[in-house]
Amino acid sequence: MNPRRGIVLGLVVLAMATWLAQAGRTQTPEEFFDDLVLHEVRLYLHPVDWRKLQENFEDNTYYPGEFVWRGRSVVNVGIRSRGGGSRSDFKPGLKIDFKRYIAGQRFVGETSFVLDNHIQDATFMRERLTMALFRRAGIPAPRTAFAKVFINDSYWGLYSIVEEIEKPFLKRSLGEDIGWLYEYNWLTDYNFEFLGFDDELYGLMWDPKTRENNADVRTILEFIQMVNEVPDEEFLERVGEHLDLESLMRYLAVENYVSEWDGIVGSSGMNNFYLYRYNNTKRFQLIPWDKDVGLTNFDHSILFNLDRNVLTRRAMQFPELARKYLDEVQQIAELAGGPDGWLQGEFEFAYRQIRQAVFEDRNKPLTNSFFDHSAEAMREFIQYRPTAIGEQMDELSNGPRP
Amino acid sequence: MQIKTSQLILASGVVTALGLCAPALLSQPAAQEQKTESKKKKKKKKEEPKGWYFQSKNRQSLRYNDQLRIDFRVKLQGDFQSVDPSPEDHPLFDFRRKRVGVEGEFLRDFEYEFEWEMGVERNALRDGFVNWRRIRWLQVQGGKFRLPFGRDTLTGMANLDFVFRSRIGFMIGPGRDIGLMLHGPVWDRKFRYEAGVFRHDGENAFTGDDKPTGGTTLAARIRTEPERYLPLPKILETLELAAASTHGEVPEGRHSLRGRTTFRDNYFPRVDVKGDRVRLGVEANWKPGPFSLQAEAMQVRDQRRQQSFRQTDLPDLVGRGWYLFGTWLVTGEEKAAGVRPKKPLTFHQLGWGAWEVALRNELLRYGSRNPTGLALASPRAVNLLSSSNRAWTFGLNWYGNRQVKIQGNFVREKIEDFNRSDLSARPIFWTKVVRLQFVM
Repeated sequence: MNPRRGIVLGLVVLAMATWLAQAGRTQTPEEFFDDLVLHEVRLYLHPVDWRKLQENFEDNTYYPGEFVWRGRSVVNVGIRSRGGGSRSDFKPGLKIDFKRYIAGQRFVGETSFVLDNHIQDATFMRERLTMALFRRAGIPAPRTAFAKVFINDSYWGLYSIVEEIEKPFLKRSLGEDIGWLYEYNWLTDYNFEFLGFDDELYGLMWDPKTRENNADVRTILEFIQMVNEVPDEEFLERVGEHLDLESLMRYLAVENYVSEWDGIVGSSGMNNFYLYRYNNTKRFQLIPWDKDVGLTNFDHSILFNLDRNVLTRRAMQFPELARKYLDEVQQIAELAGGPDGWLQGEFEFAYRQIRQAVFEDRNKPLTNSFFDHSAEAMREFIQYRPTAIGEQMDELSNGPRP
Repeated sequence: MQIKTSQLILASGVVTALGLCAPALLSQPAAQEQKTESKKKKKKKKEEPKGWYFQSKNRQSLRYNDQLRIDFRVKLQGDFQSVDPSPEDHPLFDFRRKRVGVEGEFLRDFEYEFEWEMGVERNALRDGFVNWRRIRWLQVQGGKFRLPFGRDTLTGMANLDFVFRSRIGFMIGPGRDIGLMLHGPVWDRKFRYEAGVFRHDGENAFTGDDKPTGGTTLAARIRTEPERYLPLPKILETLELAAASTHGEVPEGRHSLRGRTTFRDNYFPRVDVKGDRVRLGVEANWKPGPFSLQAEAMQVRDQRRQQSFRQTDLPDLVGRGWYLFGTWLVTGEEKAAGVRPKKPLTFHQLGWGAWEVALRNELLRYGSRNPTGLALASPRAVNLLSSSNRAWTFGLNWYGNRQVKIQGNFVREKIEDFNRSDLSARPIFWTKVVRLQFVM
């Protein structure tokens, strides 16, 4: 064989092998939630179903559809409207459930994910940056990535792909997935008070997401009773058996750092979190969810509402926990950094990444200039929040301890 | 849920008392009617009253000369029922039907029938039609009535041999709708035909909130008694055969028929369909002496044009089913002419009525036509995951007299894909029901 022809043939074979390897490569969840990339997600629903979904956006009715990402198609996925206050008919938040019609079906290992519509967030970035800060602080939190979403080949707007709190998340973040997972359902201004032995009432608040047939809400009820009624001298030991109180301080520090007013110590009671109980134990883990209102008020008190919630109020009565909380706030401030810090870097990258897609999003409820204006306000928050935190710390160190 | 014996006895007593009273109100006891029938017919012509008059025979009837006849009807049915597992808020006793109606004829060439369900908020008119019969082979019927399809579907509830219709009779058979129909005997009465056009394809195909699923529908049925033109043995003289079909268009956004158990538990939910809806059915019915045998097979096919996520065509949805049942009047009455107890329970005669045993086996399955690939529960799947309901019904009927009937049924149902069922959550379950019926 002519050596030159052999080299050409070899190169062709190598190119084909590379192409085939790329085409056949299994995509990973890391790629799907890669926030360095502005993703493109295409959904195909029958027009009748899409119209019904929009008309009945308050319902959780599933419609069958096809999901396409990077050329990979999954048919017969379940698609439904989702959200609390962010539900919308013109730009519905969506849940994509791969196992809805095919038991055990997964996509890149995930059983489902959320497409957050950012209806309540003019910057589109609150969820992403808050969750990133939670993760940077070592607290298990869902991954997010921006995506341009096309419905039946029409650009429907900029959404965020949000990792669903389900078994794959639990396995990855907590190392197990066979415990009890509950989503906290906001019903009223509730702050961890003991409301008596009403399993049904607690069952409404704590919606089981695993082990639905053996929800065991009674264990939560007993924990709440303990938090409310255990004597001070036993609080740290007995409550600490169920919840890592130092981790709780860290969780609260992140929420208050980002000026979250709709979280564990929300202004209208607890909201937006999951509770996981490890298998064969009575130990709980908090998991943040739906963080789309923070990063707004850089003067937000670092002690915001800590005295309203029974759990946080009682915990903060112990000097060692109060000290731990302030230390955590300080650490979070350092992790976030001020001007040109880590959080601003994340912000600037995300802003550049999505700006054009936001401008093209005709279904967003606000104008393009309002987006820019809101992003500028967020930039200011990120830059000045550490300074504001320092000032509050100084005031606290000069005044009475919390 | 258990039916309390005391409640059962009380309700049975009420119905029986009504039944005892009814013949007493009539001018002649039911048992004597048969004997004197021919004699009376002869007298009738001579003694026909003039003007308005009221006649109490089998039914209360108001008449004007021979120009108008108004027969008054009452139908009451109540069920003691128990199903395991039981749906929420499932009542022990259900006063299922409270119907009043009139039927008769006017101007010699017209027949009519109107019947209303009492105590319902919507759809109170059950039947309401007029039939013009001047030309026997070309009668014209208009109004609201049953589409000509399926013997079980066409049989009135008061005349069913079981408490519940067959699954195919209820789920595939179209039921009532508003329409216009030609019908009559043809070819020396060897055949009878019915052919009509209807606004939709019957109330049985309506959704739970009374919305139609089908569009304008053509329906036709032809039946025959082979004994009229074939040299069959005498025992086969009551054999009747029939075939029927409906054809309609299902517009965009409407749904298919669905699979439901006797207690309305969905085991195959509606799916989106568009295009032709075609029903086909064949039936046979034979009533030798005190016995009866009846069988039907039905199929409904819904096209799914442009119903995939990307609006391509999907394979048709097909529902297929059959039933076979037999009955035996152990007290020896003839079945063919309608059960008339030899020893009825009336004020004049304390007979034990007529007793009948019945057994039915049936199957109804939904799924894709020519399925290929993975079967899925997704309503827009290429291959719809099939599901079926196989049922056995064991029945015991008591006919106290012509007005009173009590039916007891045990129904064993087996659901193929019970995970999709709303409440059963297991493949096999039993329904027990006792129906008390008073018809006048």
